[in-house]
This record gives sequence, structure tokens and C-alpha cells, in this order.
Amino acid sequence: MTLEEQRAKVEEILGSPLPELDPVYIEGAKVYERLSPNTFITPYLMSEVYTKEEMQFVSLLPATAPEVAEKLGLDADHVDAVLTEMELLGKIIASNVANPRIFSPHLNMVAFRDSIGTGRIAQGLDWMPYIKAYKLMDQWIRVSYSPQAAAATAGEMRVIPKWNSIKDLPGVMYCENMKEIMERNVRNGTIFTAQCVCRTYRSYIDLGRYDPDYCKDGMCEHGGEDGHCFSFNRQAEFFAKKINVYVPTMEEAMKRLDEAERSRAIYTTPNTRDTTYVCSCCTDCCAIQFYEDAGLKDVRKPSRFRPVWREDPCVGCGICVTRCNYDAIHLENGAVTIEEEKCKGCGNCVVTCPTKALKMKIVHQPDWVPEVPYVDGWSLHDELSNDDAENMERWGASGKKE
Amino acid sequence: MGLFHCPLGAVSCGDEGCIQCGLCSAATAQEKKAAAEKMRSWIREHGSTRSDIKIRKIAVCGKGGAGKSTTTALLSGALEMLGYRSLILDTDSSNGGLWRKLGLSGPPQPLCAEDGPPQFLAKDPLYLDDIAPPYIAQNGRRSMVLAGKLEDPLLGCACSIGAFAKTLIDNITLNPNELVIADQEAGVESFGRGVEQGCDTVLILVEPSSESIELAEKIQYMAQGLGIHRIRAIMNKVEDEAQEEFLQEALSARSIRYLGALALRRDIRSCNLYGTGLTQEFCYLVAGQLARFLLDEAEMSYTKPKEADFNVNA
Repeated sequence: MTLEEQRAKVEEILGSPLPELDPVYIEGAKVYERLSPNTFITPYLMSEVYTKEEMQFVSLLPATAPEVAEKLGLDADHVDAVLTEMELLGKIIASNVANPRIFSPHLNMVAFRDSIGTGRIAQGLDWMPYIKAYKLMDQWIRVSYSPQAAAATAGEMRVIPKWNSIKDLPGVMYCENMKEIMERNVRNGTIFTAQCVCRTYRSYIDLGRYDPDYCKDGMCEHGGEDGHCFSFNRQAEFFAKKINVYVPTMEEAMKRLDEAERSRAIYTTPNTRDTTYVCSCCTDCCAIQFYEDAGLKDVRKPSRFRPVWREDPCVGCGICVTRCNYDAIHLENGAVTIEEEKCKGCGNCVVTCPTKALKMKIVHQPDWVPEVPYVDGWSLHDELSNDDAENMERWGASGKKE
Repeated sequence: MGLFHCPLGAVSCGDEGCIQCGLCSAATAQEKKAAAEKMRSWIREHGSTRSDIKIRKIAVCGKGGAGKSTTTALLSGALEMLGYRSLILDTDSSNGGLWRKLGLSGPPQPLCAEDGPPQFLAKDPLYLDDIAPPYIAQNGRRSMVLAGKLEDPLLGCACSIGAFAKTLIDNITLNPNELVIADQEAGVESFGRGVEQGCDTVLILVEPSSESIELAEKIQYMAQGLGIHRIRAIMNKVEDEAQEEFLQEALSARSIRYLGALALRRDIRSCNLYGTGLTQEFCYLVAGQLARFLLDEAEMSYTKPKEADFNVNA
């Protein structure tokens, strides 16, 4: 998007002529400069999200409240109260165990947008006062990205295949098995379901209100109790303590899973084994989909699985072709071909095949899913696999006897 | 730039558990790498944070003659090649060939004896190394314990034997590279006694027969009733692809997940007939894939055996 195009979009949203910007927002927008060429929209977006005082604070982050107070000559308690309130509303994150806490800005617009939306859903706040900001964000995340941005985001998320596509396949890791993940977390009381932020944004931006039925892929959500945004582990434990979230029973969780299984959604989770949350990403409103469309092709790393076509049972109905979100599967002269490069291993074609002509196979070793994000391929598994038995013993010994 | 996600779930989680790796404020690839390095060493030290998904104690169940003992031997041998030490608990009170398959020179002394159980059973925690001969027999990283034997008629039932097995399974504390594999009695009687209660994994041996499939369903139901979540079938004595596919469909229809198939092999039958042991190399050749899938599903690490180490003469 050129600057001119950006200007046109901003004028469309904020009205022409554009409101005058306080210099504090131009200064504050610099945080995002190296991340995106999207320099025209950013300061206007900042002015819609932050008050002048808040923007001033954000420009000084990451920092603790006393540090910010000292630099600006303000009362530390006041600064702390403002920053804490901002964190609750998702405008910034509090990032450390350090006492006093260190506050940071959201460096990424999708995380920013999610966090603000989640804050509003959790506290039952109306979205409309911020609608201009959401519209600006919506434009912001659709700009084209630099190759550096593409490199920096590659493999941040990964695809979990549809459970029904791998339910009879041996060797599926826990972190790839949606049913096991859900069941275990329900048993441990570490799950909550939420109304999807992306879907809510889409509805507010398009309709000016939240309509539960406004989803092309049939994921109609009336709130957390029938939401398909799944949080697990400690993230869920924490939120369950802090805010009003919905903790489903086993039966409800299985129902949500079943609904997600039958939709076009692609399960997306951070690219680690520690599945802290799973998005059921639709095709029409998902921010990750926007990223992919805007050139960050590798944000979502494919799963370890690929469909294999068998000629005998295939009746050539072509349903698989229509269900692929990536145009990776083709039917020609009765033969189905799968483009390895495009396929993300989501399992949509496998679960919709009426004759079971498509089945999943494993195409990557377990270390394809790393234990730590951002270090491609690294996992403890990997490290131990390639070392000698001596290391194995050493590792065994460090597993503390209690 | 990043769709930021704290790998420990510490950010915005009440500050608990943060190791100050700096991933949350890393904006460049270099910063991320440096932060990930800290995270890496933390994981090396602490292992995975999801310890409850790991496999520790496995019960091998199934119909009589489905191949429980042979599979126990094969699996333990393959796991040895992958760097795991296993304690094999023979709870089958009427069938005594397991020690031969493990290549032991003789069976260990049963835990259930006239003069009462051995002292170590009362220990808590009880470590693998606490079990001493003559109650344990060892071959490489595989060792075996015998719960008891019914050798004379009219001496009572096997209930007390089951109780010793249960105590051992419940009390033993394992290191990350140690496993217990309990070779169970045929059928579902052991479930009635709750022997499997301390196990986290149940493997059901299924042979190509409809009774075997029906029993598998019953075993899964019983195991679920005991609160065991990881239940997998292993298809044994499979003769061809058609049989395998039929079994797969039958298991799938009953919502039983499977780990794989073991083919009907002449060389294994010969070993069983002549009472020769199954070497770990041979076990790995036959059941290596099965063992790896088992570990993969629980996200457990293993050492990959080198091809050159193979000597595939059983």
C-alpha cells in the first residue's frame, strides 16, 4: 500500500480533512517504524487508541512505572495506575516478574489488536467507542510487508491437523492431537473457551454491532460459552482466576471441537509444543489469513502431516478441491494431485472426503515441532536423538528424584 | 516483529514462572535467538513442562495367546535400543515363558512367597535400583520381576499375586529414561482387581479374530473406567494387508487408536518354540517403529540407534 493509498483509507475512516495530529503520536508511532512500511496509518491509529498521556508513557516503554514517572516528573502511583489500567484493557503488556513490573508495548499489530479485543470481551465493554481504531488496525495489518518482516515472522505459528484426519494414525504427538489436548485440559481444569476476537472485529467493522451469526464458516458464537477460541494450560488458569471466562465441561468442550472439526477452520497455535492456545481460524475474518494474503506466507508452518490420495476409493467428486483454503489440491482427469509447496497439512480435504480416498501420512520427524519458538527445528528431542547414549543418561539423571 | 507468545505462559499470567528470557520484548531475529537460547537451556534443565503426558507405566493386555509376552519382550528390546531402561513385571500367574524371551538365564524369585513379601516393597519412594536379586533378573537395560506363580493345584486364586503387582506398580518411582512394562493376565480379570490403576498407558494386543476385537473394546472400557487415558491397540500376527486394513477399520469403528501392526513371523515362533531370547537388535527391527510411535505420541526423547549397530540375527 502506497502512502497515498494509506491516506485515502485513513480519510475514509476518520473523515476528510484529516484531524490534526499531536506531535506526541508521530513520535510514538516510531515504535512501529522498523516493523512495517505502514508509516501513514500508524500515528492516526495511535491517536485513536491512546490518550496523549498514554502515548507519552508508551513512547518510554519498556520500563517500570517509577522509571516512567521519574523521566516525566510525575507521581509514581499515578503512572502505575494508568499503566495497570492500560494493561487490563490490552493496550500494553506487563512483561516480567521484576518488582516493580516492566511494561512493554505490543510490537505486533495482530497481538495488539487481539489483546485489546480480548480485554473488551472479558470486561463486557462496548466496542463502538473504539471502532475507528479497529478500522485503522484492519487496514494496518493488510499492508504489504518487507522481506525482513517475512523472515522475522516465518514459522511463528503452526497448523494442527483436524483431529478426524489423524485419529487413526499412529505416532501423532500430544501437541498435534486436538482431542487429547482438549480432554487433558478439561480434566486438569486448564481450559477456557472464548468468543473469537477476529470474528467480533469483523462483525463490528462490517455491521457496526456484534452479530453471532455473522460468520461465513458457520462458527456462530454468542459468547465464551459457545466460543471456538481455546486457551489452555497456565494461560487458561490465569485468565480463569482474573476475568470472567467460560470453563467448559467435557461434554461442551467435545461439542465445540466437533463444530470446529466440521467447519473450514484451520487450527493454528504458536509454533511450540506448549499449546497455550488454539485458534480455529476461518477463511473470512482471521488475522493470520490476512497476514498470509499480505505476503507473510510462512507465518503458519505446515503440520507434520500430508494427505495421500488413493485412486481406488476416489469417485472424483471434487469436494476436497473446494475445501482447500490454499488451492493446493487439484482434480484433473479423475486424478487428484497435491502441491507439496502449498499444502499446510490442515486435514480439511481428508475429513471431508466422503469415500476416505484421502488419508494422512507423517512426513516430518517429531523435531519439526520445536520446544522453543524462533529456533527452527530445535527441540530437546532433537538434541537427544543426535547425541550418544551417554547424554541420554545425563539427561535421565537430571530428571530430579524427588 | 512477532506474534508474540510466551513459551512459559508467564506474560500476562500474573508474572508467575517468568525466567526473564526476554522473548517478549525481542524485536529482531538476533534478540529472539538470544532469548530462545536462554529458554533452551531452561528446557534442557527442566525437561518438558508437560510431565503428565509422558509414559511411565505400561500395562500390556489382551486375549490369551494374542502375544502379550512376546510383544512385551519385543517392545522392551526396541525401547532399550532407543535408550530406555525397562522393568518388566510379569503378573501372568499361569504362563512362564517371558524370562526366556528376554534372554535371561532363569526367572527371578516371585515376589509372592510363603515367607511374606520382600522388604523393599514397603519402601516409599521405591526406585528401580532398590529391587535386588534374587527378586530381579537383568539383561542389559531390561530387568524382570515376577509377581508370583501358581504351580500346585488347589492353592488358591491369583488375587494375592495381583495385589503384589499392584503395590509394585503404584509405589515405584521412575527416572525419565525408565519405564515399567506390566505383562498382564489374559482377559479383563486384572482390571477387576485394579492392577492397572497405577499405569498411565494400556496397550491392547489384538490378533486377527473377532473375539479379540470385541475383547479390545471391553478392555478399553475397563481401562477408561480406571482413569487411564492413553489406550492403544497393537495388531499382532497380521498376515497380509487385507487383514491389517480390516483390523484398522474395526478398531476405528470402536474408537480404539492403534500404534501399528506386528506381522506373523516364523522366526519369532521358532524362538518361542525353542525358548531362545529375542535380542534387542532383532526387537528393534521388528518393533522399532512401534516403540518410536509410542514415545512420539507422549513427546518423549530417544537416542536414534545407528544403522551400523545392527546385527539382525535373532
